[in-house]
Amino acid sequence: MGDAVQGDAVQGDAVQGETVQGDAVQGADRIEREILVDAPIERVWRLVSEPGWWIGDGDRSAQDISRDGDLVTVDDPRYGRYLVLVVSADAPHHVSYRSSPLPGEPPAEGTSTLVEFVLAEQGGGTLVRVVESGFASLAVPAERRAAMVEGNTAGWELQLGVAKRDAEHVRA
Amino acid sequence: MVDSVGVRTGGEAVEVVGGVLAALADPTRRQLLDVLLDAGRASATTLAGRLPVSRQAVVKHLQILQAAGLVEAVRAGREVLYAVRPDPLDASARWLAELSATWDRRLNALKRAAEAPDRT
Repeated sequence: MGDAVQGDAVQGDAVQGETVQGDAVQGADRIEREILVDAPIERVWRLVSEPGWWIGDGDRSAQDISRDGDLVTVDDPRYGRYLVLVVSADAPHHVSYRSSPLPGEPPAEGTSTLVEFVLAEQGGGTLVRVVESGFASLAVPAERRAAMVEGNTAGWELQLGVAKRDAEHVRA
Repeated sequence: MVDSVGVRTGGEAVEVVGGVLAALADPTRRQLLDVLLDAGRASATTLAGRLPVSRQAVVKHLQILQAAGLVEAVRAGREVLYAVRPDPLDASARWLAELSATWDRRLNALKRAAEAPDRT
């Protein structure tokens, strides 16, 4: 399965939106993706156990990374500063982090999602599953939300434009 | 590149998506939304007749859905009629789809890094 993800990267359902659309309607508060990696689990573990390894466009050489206990700060010259909290680690099978989808935000309750990686040996390789959950907890109080919803359509178009631009930027 | 405007707009988007998902976390509200989609426009009384909850409960759920931007209320004579606004739902689905695609790219980058021959 995972091998089919090579190259063009996306497993269809996510971008086509049918699954995700359904998830949104169902109120699903999580995203799950997986990939089969042709490498030993220890090697994959070394990569995914680096807090914030997913931040940026893959090139971490220019990032400034500092660590204070379980809290890791990643300064990316292009994408900004992200704070990542290590929640739990059980080598080489499971590691979880809390991080805000927005730069500069501390990974606290109501500002962050839970990002979990689950590794399993499979056919000589490693199956990596990511689960990001807790989007509903990013909700703001109803009154503020009601006010924001007023200018909703314009805001969404702007945001989706930004998301598209970011996505293309990462891909490039 | 995420500029300051992008970050701010992104923040609002995250909060709106959070609001939509929080509103949809309740099964009764999802059912209510389904019934309302079917009906097109309906009053709280009509909706309560098609759901296993009281009119009072329906009104409360409608207020929450309205705050999340998922429902609009229109006054028609002495009645208030409600209708579904599909945009926030579509936008949330698209936002989740974008994020899924982003994770696919990240996982692909991880795969490439893990499968690359050791540099010595």
